[in-house]
Amino acid sequence: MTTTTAAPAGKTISSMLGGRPAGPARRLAESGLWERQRQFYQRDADTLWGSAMVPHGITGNPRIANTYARLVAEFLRCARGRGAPVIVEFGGGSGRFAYLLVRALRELAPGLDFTYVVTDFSADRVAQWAAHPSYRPLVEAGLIDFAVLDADRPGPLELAVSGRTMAAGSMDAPVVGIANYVFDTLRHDGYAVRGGELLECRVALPDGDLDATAIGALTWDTAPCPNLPPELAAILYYYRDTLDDTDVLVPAGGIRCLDFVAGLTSGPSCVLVADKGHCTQVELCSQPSPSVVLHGSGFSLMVNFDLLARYVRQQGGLAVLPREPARSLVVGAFVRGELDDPVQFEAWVRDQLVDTGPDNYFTLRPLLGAGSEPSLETMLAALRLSRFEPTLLIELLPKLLDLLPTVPDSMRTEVERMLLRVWDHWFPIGEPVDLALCLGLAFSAMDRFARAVDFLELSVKEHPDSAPAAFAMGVARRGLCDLRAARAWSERALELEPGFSQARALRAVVADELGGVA
Amino acid sequence: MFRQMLTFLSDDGWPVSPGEYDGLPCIDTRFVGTDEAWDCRARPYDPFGQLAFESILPVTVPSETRSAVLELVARTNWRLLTGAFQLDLDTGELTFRTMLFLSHGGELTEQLCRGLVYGNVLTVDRCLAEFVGVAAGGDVVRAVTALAL
Repeated sequence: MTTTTAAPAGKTISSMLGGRPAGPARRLAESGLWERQRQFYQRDADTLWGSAMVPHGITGNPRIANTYARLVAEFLRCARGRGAPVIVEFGGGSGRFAYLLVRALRELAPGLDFTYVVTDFSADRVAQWAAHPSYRPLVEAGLIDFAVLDADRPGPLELAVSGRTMAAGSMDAPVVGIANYVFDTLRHDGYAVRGGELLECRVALPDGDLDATAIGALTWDTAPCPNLPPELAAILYYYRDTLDDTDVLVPAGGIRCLDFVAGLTSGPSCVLVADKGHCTQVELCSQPSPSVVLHGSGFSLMVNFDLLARYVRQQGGLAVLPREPARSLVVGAFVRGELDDPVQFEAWVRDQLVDTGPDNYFTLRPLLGAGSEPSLETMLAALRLSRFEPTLLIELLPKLLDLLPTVPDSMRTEVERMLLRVWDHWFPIGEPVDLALCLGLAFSAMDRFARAVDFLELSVKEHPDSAPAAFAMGVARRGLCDLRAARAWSERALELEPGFSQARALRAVVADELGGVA
Repeated sequence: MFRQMLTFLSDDGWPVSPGEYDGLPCIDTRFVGTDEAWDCRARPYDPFGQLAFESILPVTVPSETRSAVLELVARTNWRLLTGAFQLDLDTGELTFRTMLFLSHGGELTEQLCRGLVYGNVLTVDRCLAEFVGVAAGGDVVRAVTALAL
């Protein structure tokens, strides 16, 4: 143990963070932070999303995609407009959400002719999506297209596949915008309420390279408020008059996205936004300074949904937000233009997006996993509730493998159908997951060996050095009475992992059986 | 390494005093973070080229919440590249360690020292409230979510 007493005073965090001289304080939206942000998000998708450096599970699962598909379908039912609707996703991230939503919408409205445009500011990422094999059938069906779009400064969309251009005012069709975990990373401005006065928030960055330490070392200051943009002045003055001493963020980039979507068409538009943020006025109170949360060397801010809603309503639009603070994710819908039945649409959104929506689902999601001792029926119900989420299947797999051999024949077809739905929802983004092996094991456990082999072929092709995959293939081949192949695969498993005792046992059993055959 | 670390800390404004840990010399210091202050120690092992910097979190984890804090330690470490939290299951002491290994007489530069020390205390500063919360009986899942690692 330490034998001396601790020093009485200490090195302070402020002296440390001020160790690098700060540059001049600037308006938040004009600070160098945003260039740093762009550099971070220029990285390849595997690094950002495959490693979970940037959170995406809450917005990249079949459940939320299904919910959004229902909302889009309902919006299109209520919307007046001519032509095939267009859906524009800002900052498509891993690309998984687009894949899931397009498939869900196609299933929900089989005859609907629509174009889903996945966008990102990085041309490299757009090119990666365009080459992703999972998208191919959707591209060939004309349902999905790709475009480079800087959500901070949105301009005309040049579609990569069709070559079509979508510019402001170029359409009469209804347009839907989708922004999942995007607005929190876009340009913001900040204002401070102090003693009934409205001031502008300014931020000073340490000189030099903006590494993660530097982003954590921001110095906030205030300055007299400049002339406010007229469309924001009324909202900010309202905050000044009703909030306590606090700092308020203005999602300038998010507002531009809302305006961009509305401007694309003369028809109605709806933007669905999911993000971390504040949706009630109470949450806006007593904020000491804008909270910058680091993700790797990128960062995010709390999105002021309350301001977005006031902005849209001020322009005659409809904004639907949760009435209570969200736990992890605020989801909201912002509509401009005429709807046939706005009251019904609002009620629908409130039910689908807010009350039974992604935030509540994400809160309950841990209960669906294998934490307790779930029965088979419970696990199947959980999978259905998740809309057949691959990561949930992976969580449940050990327990499922215990129970599947006992499943009565009458249930096996339903289980098989569910497993295939899970596979349908698999969109690889570089995660270290072998879903094909999981499915192969599950089918083998139900003695559906031919189906198991189909998946295990994919597994051993993708993971040629995986001893578990080789062993699973050996088991499935034996199930099909292909004993020579079973022996070869058990030997392959042992070659890859000499201490693999189950593979050793399989080899011995198969050798006996081959001896019997001979 | 002892001398170089001592020089770095002194020049950088850290209070330093010589100490001893596990029978070996160390440098004791202290850091004042956003909400809390805590003791730190630099532990150079010159013969092996090893230098560890440890923050001793200002909380003793009660026995009834040690398993919860242990889970938070495991979940947090899984995400961290900077270093690792450690919980003494017997005493409830919670520390965070960053470490350098300079093989073949590699030079301990000021930049290396700064990265080792700043990376340590800034990580602790960011995570401390959640660890204190779970030690006081808070929910681990909520803490992990709040950490957003």
